[in-house]
Amino acid sequence: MWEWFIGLLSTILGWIADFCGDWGLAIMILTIIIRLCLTPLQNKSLKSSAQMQVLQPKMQEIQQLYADDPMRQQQELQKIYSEHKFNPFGGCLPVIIQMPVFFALFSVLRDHLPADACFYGIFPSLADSVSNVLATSGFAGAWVYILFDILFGVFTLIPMLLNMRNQAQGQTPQTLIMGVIMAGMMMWFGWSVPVGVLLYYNASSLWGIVQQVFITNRMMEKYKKEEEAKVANGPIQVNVVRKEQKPRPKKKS
Amino acid sequence: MSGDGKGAARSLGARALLKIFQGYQRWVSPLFPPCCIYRPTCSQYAIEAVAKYGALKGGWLAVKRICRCHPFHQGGYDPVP
Repeated sequence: MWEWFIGLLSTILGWIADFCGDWGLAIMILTIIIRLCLTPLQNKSLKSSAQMQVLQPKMQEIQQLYADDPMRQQQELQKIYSEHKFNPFGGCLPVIIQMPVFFALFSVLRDHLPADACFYGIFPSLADSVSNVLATSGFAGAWVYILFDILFGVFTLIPMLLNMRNQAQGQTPQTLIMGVIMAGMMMWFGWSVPVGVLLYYNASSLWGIVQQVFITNRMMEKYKKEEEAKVANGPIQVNVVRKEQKPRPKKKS
Repeated sequence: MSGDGKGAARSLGARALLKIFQGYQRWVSPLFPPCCIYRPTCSQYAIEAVAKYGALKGGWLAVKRICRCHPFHQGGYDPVP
């Protein structure tokens, strides 16, 4: 199954390379195709996470109110979900599923790239790693490779910085440290992998960043406004707990 | 109850898993947008499940939970049994 998937990806990459005549361009086109396939899914999960953020205070209130009664809590939360037609397109599984796709692409670029695959005049060989090029042709030949490794780190850090804006204040410094450490690890990892992998990752991240800055944030604001309007204009909820109806005592005759 | 989960006598595996999940929550999770459709979240669920049932059964419960956490489920409040 795994081998089959890798074979499929490398065949597709080969076709694109034949079609456009350049391996580097083919990697970028494949990246864009994969990103485009993921966009509708992302859009839906965006909408639900905007809803989630607007409804969060209300849900917390319910959780506190019925903390000792999980059944009632569940019912009340269900009520909110149905009122707002809350259909969360998202979840942890889709995120986890994306990882094998990344690893498959990684192993395609590492093992199935011909040695003469080049990216126009920029990279003579996409199958070569940064450390290798630096060792064989010195800094003069390797500086573009090194630049791409640095970009690899920078493009890891930027989405995290963008994410931090949606976060609680107290956590920010911690997250920043972790983001920098992770970017450093990525650069260390990128040092010894074929530069084709870096090209893929940089193209993919750049796409993601553009998407986040120009589309995601604006859509998020729009969805949030819609949801807030819905909450504000909705009928006022009054929680009435009805007493059990008792049968009327019969009149004594 | 086999006794590998509850109380102070947690197995090495359970303790290692708890540390990993807590590390994920503290360090890794804040870097990415929130995606979980359940409360408690999948990682919190995993911590509670492993603490209560031990590495094997708790881990299995967590795996089942993650497999439920996708667009075609309703989500919502779903505590560890």
